[in-house]
Amino acid sequence: MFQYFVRRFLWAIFLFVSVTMITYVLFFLVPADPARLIAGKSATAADVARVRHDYKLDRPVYEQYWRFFDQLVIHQSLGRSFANRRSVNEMVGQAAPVTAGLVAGGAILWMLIALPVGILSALRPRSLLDRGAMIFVLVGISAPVVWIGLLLQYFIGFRLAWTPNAGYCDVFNPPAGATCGGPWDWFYHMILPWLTFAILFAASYARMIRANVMDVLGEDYVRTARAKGVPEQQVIRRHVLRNALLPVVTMLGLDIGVALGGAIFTESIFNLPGLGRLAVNSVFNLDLPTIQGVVVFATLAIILFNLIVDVLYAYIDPRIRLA
Amino acid sequence: MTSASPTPVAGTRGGQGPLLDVRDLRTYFKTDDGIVKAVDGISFSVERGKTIGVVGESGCGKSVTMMSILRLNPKSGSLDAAPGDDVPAKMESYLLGSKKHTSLSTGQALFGSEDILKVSNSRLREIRGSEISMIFQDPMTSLNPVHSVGTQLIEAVVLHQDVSPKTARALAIESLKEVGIPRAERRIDDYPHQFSGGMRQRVMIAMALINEPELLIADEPTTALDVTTQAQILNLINRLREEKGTAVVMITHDLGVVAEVADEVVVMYAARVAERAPVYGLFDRPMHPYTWGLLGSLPRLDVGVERLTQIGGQPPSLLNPPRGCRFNPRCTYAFDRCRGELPELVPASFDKAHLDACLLPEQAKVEASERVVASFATTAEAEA
Amino acid sequence: MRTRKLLGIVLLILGLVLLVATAASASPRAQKGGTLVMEETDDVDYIDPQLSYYGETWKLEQSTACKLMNWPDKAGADGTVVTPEVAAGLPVISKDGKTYTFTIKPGFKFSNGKPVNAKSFVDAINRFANPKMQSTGVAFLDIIKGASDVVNGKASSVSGLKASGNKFIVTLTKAAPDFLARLTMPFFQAIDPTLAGQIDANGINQYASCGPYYFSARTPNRSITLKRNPFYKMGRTANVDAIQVNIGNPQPVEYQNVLQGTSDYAAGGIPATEWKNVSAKFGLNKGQVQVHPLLDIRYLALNHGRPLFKDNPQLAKAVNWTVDRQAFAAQGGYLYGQRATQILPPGMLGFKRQGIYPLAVTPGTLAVAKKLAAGNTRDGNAILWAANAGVAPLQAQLIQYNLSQIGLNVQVKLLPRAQQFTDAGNPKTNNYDLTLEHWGADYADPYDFVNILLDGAQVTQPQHNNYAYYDVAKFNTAMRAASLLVGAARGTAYAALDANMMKQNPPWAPLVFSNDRNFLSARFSCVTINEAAAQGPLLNMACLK
Repeated sequence: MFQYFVRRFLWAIFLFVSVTMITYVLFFLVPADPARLIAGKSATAADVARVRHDYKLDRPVYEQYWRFFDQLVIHQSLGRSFANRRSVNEMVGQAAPVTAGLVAGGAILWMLIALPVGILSALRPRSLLDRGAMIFVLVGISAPVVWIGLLLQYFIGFRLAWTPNAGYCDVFNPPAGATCGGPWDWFYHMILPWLTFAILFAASYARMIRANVMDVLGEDYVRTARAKGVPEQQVIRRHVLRNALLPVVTMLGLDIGVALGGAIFTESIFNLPGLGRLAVNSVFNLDLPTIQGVVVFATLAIILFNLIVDVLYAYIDPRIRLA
Repeated sequence: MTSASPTPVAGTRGGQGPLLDVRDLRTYFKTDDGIVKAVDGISFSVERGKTIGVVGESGCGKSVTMMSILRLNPKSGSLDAAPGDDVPAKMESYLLGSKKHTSLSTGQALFGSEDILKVSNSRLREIRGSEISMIFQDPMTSLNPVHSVGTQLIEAVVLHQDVSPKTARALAIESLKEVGIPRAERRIDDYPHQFSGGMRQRVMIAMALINEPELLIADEPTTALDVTTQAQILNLINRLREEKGTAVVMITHDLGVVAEVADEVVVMYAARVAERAPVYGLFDRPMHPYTWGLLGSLPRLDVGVERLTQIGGQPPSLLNPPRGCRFNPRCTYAFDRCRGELPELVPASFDKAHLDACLLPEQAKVEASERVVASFATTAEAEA
Repeated sequence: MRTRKLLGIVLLILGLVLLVATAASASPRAQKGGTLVMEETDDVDYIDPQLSYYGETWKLEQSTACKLMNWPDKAGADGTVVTPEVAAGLPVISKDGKTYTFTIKPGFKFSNGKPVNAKSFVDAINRFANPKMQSTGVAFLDIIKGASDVVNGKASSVSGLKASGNKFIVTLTKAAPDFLARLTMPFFQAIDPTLAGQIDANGINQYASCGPYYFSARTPNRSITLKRNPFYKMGRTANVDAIQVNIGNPQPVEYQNVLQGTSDYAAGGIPATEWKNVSAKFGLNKGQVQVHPLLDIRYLALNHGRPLFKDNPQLAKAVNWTVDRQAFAAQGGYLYGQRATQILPPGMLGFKRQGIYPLAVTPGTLAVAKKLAAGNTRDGNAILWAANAGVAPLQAQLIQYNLSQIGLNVQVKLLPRAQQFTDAGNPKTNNYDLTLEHWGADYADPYDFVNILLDGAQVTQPQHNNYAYYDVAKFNTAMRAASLLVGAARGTAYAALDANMMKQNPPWAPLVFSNDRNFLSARFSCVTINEAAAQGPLLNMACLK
């Protein structure tokens, strides 16, 4: 078990270095010149050169990468944004909790939807409930997140005014100039984003859970349980679900890890100052340090969640734990 | 026909009559290709403490019969038939018309005086695992991989016995010891994948017997195991049967197993019973051409042959069984009556307990049987 | 004695009556007070005066800054006249045009109570030039003597500045009549001694300012708050108590908010397709929907450095006769802009409607175009660059079609915007014959349009803005001469230059002068649109119904 851990850890480090390096290279392959952008349109060649020097963009790529890596590992700093010279650590640090809140709430919501829908559909295949559920699944998976978000925002936020149509409220320490804050405001503003974010996942998880449950219902040990006289409810609970939901746990962990990199569409539509929006803005501004900052964070999140999922799976599936 | 009589206390079935009396059992399935008549008029009975061997080819309906008795077929409907009804036709039209149900069983499975096919769901759950237990063919997949063996054993106990968790665990350990699992106190918390195939089957047996049922149905319990383990398991079943007085229905396709353990044999073919006899009677004087084929196709140790004797032809489809006697397309002795008339079980004149469903005159059958027996007499003697 | 006492009492009563009267008249006209709520889709870059370069920040600084020369709080053309603010009057300019002496008007105070003086401006320029600030606007300083030395690290303060009593004296490197217009840029606003000492390239987010308002709070990426400057009493209006800027809502949300009245001004814009609806609903320039021309142009730069347009004035003219400016504008939605057939936009000094080229395409205009183009299409192929986002691809297709009418086979190449102007401005990579460009004035002077974009001296620089690679000796001379003129003469000279270039050998095919479209809430009144100062409604003038 320990060896397993060590190996996974080393692999994680290798992954991290590769991802950051590739991001760096890709950025420099883009033909636009960030120095030119920063210098502004009235700048002369001398100005652009000066900016390039100030931002150390005139150094060779590998040197810049080494500088970045050194800064990251030794000083734990992600540098400063090209667009507004703010500390990237600070920007990512402020954005991450917003995304985390969105993802956590969304995950809870999507499981609350997917579990009953998936399980009930599996228990009553081809019934009206099942067919209805599968239509929901089809729509949820096919409909673009942006479309769903805009629809919800327009009908529920604007026309009906049941919820605010956009904006974010901090739970603790609302920033200076904020017009809302506190747990209730936060929750109220997150309803539509959670819904938008969750629908796609709810649909695909419902489908997956349904398939898994149907598979497991046909297993021999379910037949054994029935032959023992186990009541059907208990068969479902103790024998079917535990087996059917095992793969769901791994998927959940991985999906959360990836989503922490930034739910871009949802955040943009509802103006949530999270990592997704940060990433989009920094890409448009050719703001390399911020892009890198988000990439680093997202990579770490994914690696961490991968690890958690591996450990969790080993723990809950006795076949792996005691192999 | 009659609804369940007031619940008798389990285990105190009166000494009169057979423990299990199956009469005219039919089970049909609705599939995309049509109605599959998996069990089409089966009758047999099991006496207290005795072992019945049920033999037949794959697909002849042996397992379905047992599943039907315990009502383990999924999405099963129910049908009341009045005497004089054309039951098969009624069953077909019921299934075709039903949206929810894809299987249907009719007939009677009298357990004492209760018809299991008609009892309430709660009574059925009481019977299952406690008065009638069933073990299945593949021990690798018949146990839940995410629960320990102990959990699953204790579950069986707690469902049917009113005991404390501590007692239940003690009972579970005890049952593991009985089936020969070494270091049962430690092994009880192990998971199924930590046991070998044979061990797992022992666990299944322990689980089936922990509540001391009156009847154990074993559906090909040794087919998935190697020969040595097979012998061990059979011995175990035998021993337990002797110790506890449990009746056993042993489904198998292996005549050798039947010869070992059965008191009575039921030979099934194409969803119907071909022959039913006490075990010695079956081997001494088999009375059905199918049985002759079965016996003749046994490998022989004394005579070297190029190829084993087969029964010619294919097992019939249960969607559209052949008209008349279902064995007639493959039967070397078939004559014109066979093609039109569906034979019923008829007792032999020399033994009322020996029945067969063949239209040949008894004398012809006796002669043919003697020829068949003679040809493997040496083998049979060596085994006896 | 008694009469004096009586007089005293009478005066007292009179005074009280007057006091009450003024108090009564100053009481709720319901026009003062309240918080104006504004929306932006993206954050500003900095609010630090020497660093901020985004138009949206300058909008806000128009209410917070006090400058030597400023735009008046007036609408329309009146608002584009450079007027002294902290300067007591127009400066005294030396004969050689290089030395400006400003007298500082007393009475301006920062929001922390400190007074504004000549040193406040010296500090501002020194801070601006300080290489540690890494300001990207330093190009505008090159005209001040000694500034370049500071920028390049060779000196520690700008030698061309002097603060003497209430006089602020600036020496330039050469005569530059657009200098006064430059001073209206927020870079040059007065800063207090505290800010002068805060040298931080990351930008200061809280500082005292001397205009009607000051920045009271800023949370990057979330919001900016402006509050009334309690020490400001120099005449500019400050109607609302506070201005709250909320950042990040996408355009559809801003639109909804303003409609509902939860916000007052959608500064980030509303979805392009909604302009027609709101104009129909609320009327044009009657209240909530304000559309006015900007000092801004969208144009097709014709590359005179490449074979197709080199020494080919007839083809350049033909292009101007054939492009469909109406259809081009239509791509941007309702009220996108007005059709342009010349270089300088309306509202800019030197603008004179020339009427050289047609505003609409007809069979007649097409015939003229074909005649001009006949025999001049060289190899008949042309490469057109355009941005790959927004409406630019559509507009490029349109132009491709237009030019096919005169026998030019145009190949469209779509590029990311940043790459487009970077590569276009590089003499090594300008592999296009036409490029679809967009330019907005940094300050309202024709120099920023003509010299910056068309002076031939640039075309050999490694990075420049002369995308037409236009290098005509006589026009180079003319534009440099015009830049030295002042007042009406300056305007006339630039107007003539505009007309002559377009008549003789057009560097571009001008397409559209963009409109500034603003959507305001129902309660937003006292709307004063000043495109030179704020590109939109003046925030200090705004009041809430």
